[in-house]
Amino acid sequence: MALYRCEGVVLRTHDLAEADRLVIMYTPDRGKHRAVAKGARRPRSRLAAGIQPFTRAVYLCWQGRNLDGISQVEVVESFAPLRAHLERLAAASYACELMDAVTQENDPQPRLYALLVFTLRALAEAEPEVHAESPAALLGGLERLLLSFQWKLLALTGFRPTFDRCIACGEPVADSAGEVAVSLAEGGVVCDRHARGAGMVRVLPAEVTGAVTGLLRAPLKAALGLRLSPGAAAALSALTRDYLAYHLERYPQSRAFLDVLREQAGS
Amino acid sequence: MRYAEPIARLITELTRLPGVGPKSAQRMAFYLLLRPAEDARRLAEAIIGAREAIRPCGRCGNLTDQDPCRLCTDPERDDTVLCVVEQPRDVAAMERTAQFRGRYHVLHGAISPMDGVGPDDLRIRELLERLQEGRVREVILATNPNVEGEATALYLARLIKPLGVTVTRIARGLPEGGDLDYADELTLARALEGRRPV
Repeated sequence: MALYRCEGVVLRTHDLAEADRLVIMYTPDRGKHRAVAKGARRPRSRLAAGIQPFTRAVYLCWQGRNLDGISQVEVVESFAPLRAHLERLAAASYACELMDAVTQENDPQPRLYALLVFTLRALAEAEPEVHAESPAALLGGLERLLLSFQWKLLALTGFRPTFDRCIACGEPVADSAGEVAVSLAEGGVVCDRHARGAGMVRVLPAEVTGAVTGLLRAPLKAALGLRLSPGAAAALSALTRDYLAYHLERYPQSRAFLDVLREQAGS
Repeated sequence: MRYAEPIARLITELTRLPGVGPKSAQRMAFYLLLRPAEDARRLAEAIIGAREAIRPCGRCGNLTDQDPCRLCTDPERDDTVLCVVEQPRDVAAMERTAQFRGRYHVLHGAISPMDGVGPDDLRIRELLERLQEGRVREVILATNPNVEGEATALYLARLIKPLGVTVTRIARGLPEGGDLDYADELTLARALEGRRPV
């Protein structure tokens, strides 16, 4: 039986047969990869701990006819805080579900893998603001990290938006009264002349497109320092959601749980 | 080869069972067909009987043939300790220990953000209503030690603590009769965290 080693991050698992788990991981060498962990639901399994979602590990796998299997696991980073705090767990679930949605098997993209590892590390280490150790403060920080993750993910998968000139004619776009028109379909700002013909146009505060440009340029963790007016923050969240849904044609289900936590933190 | 319609139908129905593939279903079907007719009738009656008589207990959510169930009405059990589990089969697992004499509450699932299962899909409202009756002093969170079980336990702990009820989580660590050398790092770390004076 041919064996091979691969490093990866577990995106999610599914129960399989009596006591097995199907592991869906993202690897820098093979892209999204599926493998079965035999007996992993039994308490004595040596594989169980290393195949939990969000875990980064090196796997020794065997080649199967239809499905490969995991024979040994060596954990590199367990990202334990992601499973110990509700807000971190919800945010990490969102990030991993999104990765699962946008990636393919046998399509390795090492930069996507690096982005995922940086994101999980940042979500595990993010500290609530000083003197504000509340779930709301922690959630705010995690949401900003997720914003940065989503735009970087879009950029790496070929959907980087253009905000410095009109996407249709290439002319510089002057904002009118601090607002710009963004076409979700075209993937960037449009000038007055081309706004009418473009699809899915949203008029947004220019502060929002500036924030996205900043997030794309800066390292992921810099997102923790992102400061926006309440109106712009809401518009940025809505733009991110709509842009993602338009280009990826789906939206992570984990968003609903993040919203439940946000509602509870606000009440 | 095409089977006669009744055999094909039986195989199709058996294939719907968890862990049963077409080959196993075929083996089971022929076993049943070659046994005396009485055996097949007894099995069919047992399935229909169980399906019709069993329902979730209105109080704890466990599967039962009487409502409230025997575990909820047993006067020998302790009303002040409530063990929260994910599935009815977890109640059976806890009962096999013969160590727990409190009451149960079955959630019928666990929070799974990626599968779109949220708190509203579980029997959490019923749990809070039971706690508001004021008899329970301790809630033991016995959800599975995986991501979904952990999310559920963390969420419940946050809801229950403000009610003034002690919330505990079942311990995690080395299995009985296990070998330290073969334990994985995370389990060993948990076992160290949960060490106790002897």
